[in-house]
Amino acid sequence: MSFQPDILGAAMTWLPVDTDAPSERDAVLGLHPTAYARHREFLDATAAATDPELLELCKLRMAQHFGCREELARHSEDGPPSLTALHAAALDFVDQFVLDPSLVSREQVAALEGELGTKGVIHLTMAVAAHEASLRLSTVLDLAPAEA
Amino acid sequence: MSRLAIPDPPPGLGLSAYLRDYTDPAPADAFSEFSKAALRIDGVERETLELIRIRNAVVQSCHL
Repeated sequence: MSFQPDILGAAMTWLPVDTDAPSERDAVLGLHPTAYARHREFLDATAAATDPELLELCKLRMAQHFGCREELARHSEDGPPSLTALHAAALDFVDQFVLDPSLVSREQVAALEGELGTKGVIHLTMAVAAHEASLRLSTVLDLAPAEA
Repeated sequence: MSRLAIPDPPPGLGLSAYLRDYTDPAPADAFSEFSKAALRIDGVERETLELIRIRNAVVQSCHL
């Protein structure tokens, strides 16, 4: 099935997108294929260095902050999470990170460092930063959720 | 120094380079490749981008 652009809620777009792309993200960001490929590789590299469940939790939280419909749709059937101390520390960190990273406290970092170690905190921070940018990009462009 | 529980970097070594000792190089390398590719996008003017980076650094109190 070919992809139907849904940019800004309209059935058509002036962007010269590939209407055979599997998703609006692929169609729009694929306008710059090399940069998009490196972008995906960056996201994948940060994700590979991080606990996937923890990253998904952080991505959902950021998507809720931004109102990112593309990401929120991926979690539409998630049940309520049961939060561990690590999850709570990560969400506390993420909440401050997206609002003002300069105000992330030493205590917030220390709480994470106690769970993940220094290397783990750096990796999680890189992953959160990378995926935050991607989610902001999606939100600004109002990318439609990928079809299941 | 940083908010992390690690010693200060040796004199003359920048924080970014120092933190690479604590990380898997793959994400940092992938970021570098993405940055280079993004700068090659048609219509991306380096001077304008630098101004935006500086503005964002000021807003976010980034000292790098």
